[in-house]
Amino acid sequence: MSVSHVPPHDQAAAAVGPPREMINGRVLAISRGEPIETVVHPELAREEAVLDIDHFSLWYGSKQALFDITLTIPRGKITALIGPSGCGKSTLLRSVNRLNDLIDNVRVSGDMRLNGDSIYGRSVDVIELRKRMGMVFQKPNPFPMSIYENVVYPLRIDGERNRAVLDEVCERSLRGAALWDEVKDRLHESGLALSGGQQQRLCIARAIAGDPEVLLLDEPCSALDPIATGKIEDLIQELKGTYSVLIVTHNMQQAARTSDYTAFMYLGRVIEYGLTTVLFTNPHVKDTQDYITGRFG
Amino acid sequence: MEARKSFTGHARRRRTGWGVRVGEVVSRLCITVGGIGTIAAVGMVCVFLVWVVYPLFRGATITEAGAQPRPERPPPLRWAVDEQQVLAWELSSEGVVEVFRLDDGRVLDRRVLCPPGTLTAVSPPGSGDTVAFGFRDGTIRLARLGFATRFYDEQEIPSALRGLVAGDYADFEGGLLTRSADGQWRGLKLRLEMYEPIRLSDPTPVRRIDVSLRPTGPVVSVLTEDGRLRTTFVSRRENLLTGEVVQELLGGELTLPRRGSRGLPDYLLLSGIGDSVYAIWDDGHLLRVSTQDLEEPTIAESRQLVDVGESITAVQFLIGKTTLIVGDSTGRVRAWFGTRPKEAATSDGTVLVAAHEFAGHGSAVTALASSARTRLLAVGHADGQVRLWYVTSDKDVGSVTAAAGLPVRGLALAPRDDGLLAEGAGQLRHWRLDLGHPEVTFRALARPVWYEGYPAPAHVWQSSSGSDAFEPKFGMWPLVFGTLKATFYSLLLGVPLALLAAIYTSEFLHPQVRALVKPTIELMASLPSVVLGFLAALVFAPFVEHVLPAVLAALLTVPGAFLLGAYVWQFLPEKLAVRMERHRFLYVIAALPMGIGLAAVVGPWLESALFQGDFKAWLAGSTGSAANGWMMLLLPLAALGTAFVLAQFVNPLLRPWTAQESRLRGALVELAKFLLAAAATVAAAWLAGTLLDAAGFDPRGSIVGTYVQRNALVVGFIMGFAIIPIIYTIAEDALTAVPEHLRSASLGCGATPWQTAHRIIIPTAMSGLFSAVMIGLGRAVGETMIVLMATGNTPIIDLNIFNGFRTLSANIAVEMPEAVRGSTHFRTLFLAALVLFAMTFVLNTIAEVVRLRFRRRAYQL
Ligand SMILES: Nc1ncnc2c1ncn2[C@@H]1O[C@H](COP(=O)(O)OP(=O)(O)OP(=O)(O)O)[C@@H](O)[C@H]1O
Ligand SMILES: [Mg+2]
Repeated sequence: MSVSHVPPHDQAAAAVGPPREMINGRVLAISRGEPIETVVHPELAREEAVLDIDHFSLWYGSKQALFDITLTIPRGKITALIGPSGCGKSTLLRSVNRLNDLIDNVRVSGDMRLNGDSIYGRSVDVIELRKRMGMVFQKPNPFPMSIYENVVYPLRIDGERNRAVLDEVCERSLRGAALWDEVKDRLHESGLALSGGQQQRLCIARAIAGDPEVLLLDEPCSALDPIATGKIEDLIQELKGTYSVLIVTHNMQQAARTSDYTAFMYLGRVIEYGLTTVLFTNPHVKDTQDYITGRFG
Repeated sequence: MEARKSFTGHARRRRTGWGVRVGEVVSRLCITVGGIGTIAAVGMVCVFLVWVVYPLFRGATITEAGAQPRPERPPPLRWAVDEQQVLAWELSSEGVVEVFRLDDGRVLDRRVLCPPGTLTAVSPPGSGDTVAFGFRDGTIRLARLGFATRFYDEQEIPSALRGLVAGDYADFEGGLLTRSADGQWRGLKLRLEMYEPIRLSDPTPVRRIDVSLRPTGPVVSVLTEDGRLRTTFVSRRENLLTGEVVQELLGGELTLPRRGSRGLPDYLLLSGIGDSVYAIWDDGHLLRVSTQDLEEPTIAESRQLVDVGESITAVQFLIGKTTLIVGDSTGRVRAWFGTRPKEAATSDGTVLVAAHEFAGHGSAVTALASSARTRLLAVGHADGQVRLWYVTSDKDVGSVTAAAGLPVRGLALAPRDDGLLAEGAGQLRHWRLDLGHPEVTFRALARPVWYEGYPAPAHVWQSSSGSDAFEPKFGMWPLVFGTLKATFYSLLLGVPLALLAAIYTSEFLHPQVRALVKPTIELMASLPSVVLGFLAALVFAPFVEHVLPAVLAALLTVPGAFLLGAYVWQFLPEKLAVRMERHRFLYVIAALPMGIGLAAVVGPWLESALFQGDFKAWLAGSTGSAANGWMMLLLPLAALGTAFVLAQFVNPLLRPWTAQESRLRGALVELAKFLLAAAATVAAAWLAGTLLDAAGFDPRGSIVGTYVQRNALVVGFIMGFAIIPIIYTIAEDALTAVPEHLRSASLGCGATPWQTAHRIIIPTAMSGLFSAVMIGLGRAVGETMIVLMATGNTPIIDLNIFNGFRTLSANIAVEMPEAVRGSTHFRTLFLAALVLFAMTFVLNTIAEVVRLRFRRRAYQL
């Protein structure tokens, strides 16, 4: 991964404050199979949690994919998940709205709480739970129906029939996803006829149409060109405050640009979690620094 | 050359190995050959079917075989030609039989039957070799007049004839002698046996006479100059020891009314079993005398056969002596036979109808000859034309000019319908005929045909029977209808079950349970259909008949139990419900026996409450009003209607209110709604049923009716069962093939599995589901063993679900073994196969077109 755009932290850090003892050897400990503790920055204590991940582990069959993860996702903020490919970012995201239930042989332990309500409790109505979240996937996945129907789908399944409400939500969501101007004349054409980037923005429009408490974005820009990416990043910025956003990205720059907090994951563990500005400029863990400067990953 | 840097450590040039190339060529060749071969094989099957069927529709060929002058003399009373068409005899009005060669006209034999001037009447043709003669002194004589064949030993042949070339004919003992290719000597000559004279009454000259043969003996009908008509059964017993013959007569007489100047009838014909005598005058007047009781003949019917100003010029019976052929002065020929309509104006309930008409061209009919083996008729006209008509199919087979401009005086058809003799204009002309299959025309196959004795034209399939005079009936519709009926009912049951099962397993079942359920259902496909048919016929059909009300009730209670179960489930406290989620499959399964148990209780109760305790009697139409039956029939429709009203109007009204309710109260409201809707359904069905009954409609006689044990319902169940696995498998695959990310997207939006299924998965998989149904349809259309065994195989057109039918495929299986190769029947069966082929072809083509449209719409992924 090219990290030429990342400023040379060592000098910056040295310039900002007194050199601090950096925690090291987390990656080594993981490779030895030792349990590690997440390094959480103190700034997070000030935030109110929208989503509480509490000692959460997940197994695909006998293979463990998430290891005892504890994170609090702050309300109204944008939280980025970064980490090398295969470290379990998507898995963690899908665990939040329990889409992993669909996969055969998945086993979990621990719990998560959405605004204080248990997600993995034994008597949770998954359908109601998912209605409180919006999810955008790595690959655009519009439904084989019209653009309009795609956007209002979350309302349709709630039984909304009022045309005026639907029309309004459709327009607001499409505007929110920066797609309105491009599709307003062909709302009733197939959503599959859009380009990849447009499809992804359509999916974002669909995700926000349901007014979710948390928005889960799994590499929403991986299929997009820089202009579309820019539009979506702007969009995410606009969503801030209204929505709490959990976004997975491979793009350090994007994480640095758009998010308030960042969590660095490695092989199913969260190594460091804190303010984006701090994590990218002055990480507390050496392995984090190595990753964002491109020394491994 | 410098070795390039290697990434893997093995520096080599990449190139496709020759083995791979050969494999490529071979596999491409195999695939091409296989593909083209398959298309060619299907094409060949089609071509073969067409090749066998085509002769059915080929026209007749008529070739002239000879002509020779005949002396001008009164036309013969009777004449006939032998099977080889080499020898003929004719009976003159003087009572002389002359046998002559057809090739040169030389007379070989001459027999005098009676003194000149004594013969007054001869029976018309129609009773084979049996002839009745009536004489001036009032006596009658029965005789057998025909050809006799005898095989000779070489020694019996005069040496002069021994050099006869095989196939040639030589004059010999008043007949002809021929030698077959393998050296057999065969002689052909006249056979004449005159029986003892019979005196029926006082010596009044006989005017008209006819004879018919009953299995027990001949019946003779005699009209004497004094207008008395006697119809008599003659039993002739010969004492083997003394040779003495005793003839016993049984009959009665009736005096025909005089018709002014018209005098006595010009034609007298006795029906095939001697139960009716037709007396016909030239002016078209007909009297039918019923002789069902021989001793008490009565005039049963009087009819006018032609219009005023026209006159009858020729009358004949068709084979079987039931259909009367009447030719008139306008050249028109009509075929009349008796039918038994519901209210007949005649004393014996039979009414003559003109069922077929062969339009004339203005030239009077002068001669008629009917075939001795089929319903072919030769019609000679005053202008010398001879036309051939196949009565059943109304087919104009062909025509020849026998005597240009002069009337045809006599016609004879060879015994095998392969030759025609016509006399006229001083000439005897001979044609050889190749008729093809005149009984089959497109019209006769597809349109109703008026068969002998039927009250009206009808679609009938009845290909064979014991009797020679039988009229084969090749109406294709009953079979097509049977096929459609079987298909409809089996799809009605199989398609919803299979599709719902596929949706359930692919969208709702836990993957581990699915891995068990799918192979189990697919295992059902391995049951041979003959086993299913056997079970259906011997186990299931009797069982259904035994517990019919419960079976019908089950059609309502089983879905009802599922629904009720779903509503009851809502009462589980939320926490428990979520926890029990994984056991829901067992809960669902448990609804099935509940529904069946309920049916066993409700069925008999319904039977006694609605159908006076005997459903089958109600079906047969003997008891009860139609209202309750309508109600039962309309229930599913009413349920759909109520569901629609609920979804469209009631639920949107209730929604804002129920949304705030607690779970328990919500469940209560839902249950109340369900029960109310069920009550509304019953009420609506009852109301509609009562209205329909009041309006005079009765379902009995149409979609329901008299119960037959092996019926469409049983076939629907068993064949539905047979087509479930294939529909299920394909549908399940189509549903599972819907990309997982769509499922995730929908569920991620908070949709329930059912919403995901019906809003996203099913529309996306529509093309696959459609193919599944179509393949099931194809299977049902072509299925043979189940319908063969589990239906009565009665080829009738009857919508009644409780009646049997016969499908095209079962018909082929049943009749092909007994069909004579190359016969009309054989070719018609191939035609049935072709129709079946065409049906499946059309269905599959439609299916493919529709499927592609669905796919284009849904699958741009
Ligand atoms: N359905 C599954 N069954 C079994 N293992 C899985 C499944 N999905 C993911 N995994 C495994 O879980 C681990 C985490 O996968 P995940 O998709 O969460 O990675 P990721 O961080 O999103 O990677 P990327 O950045 O490449 O998308 C990987 O090792 C992967 O092989
Ligand atoms: Mg991922």
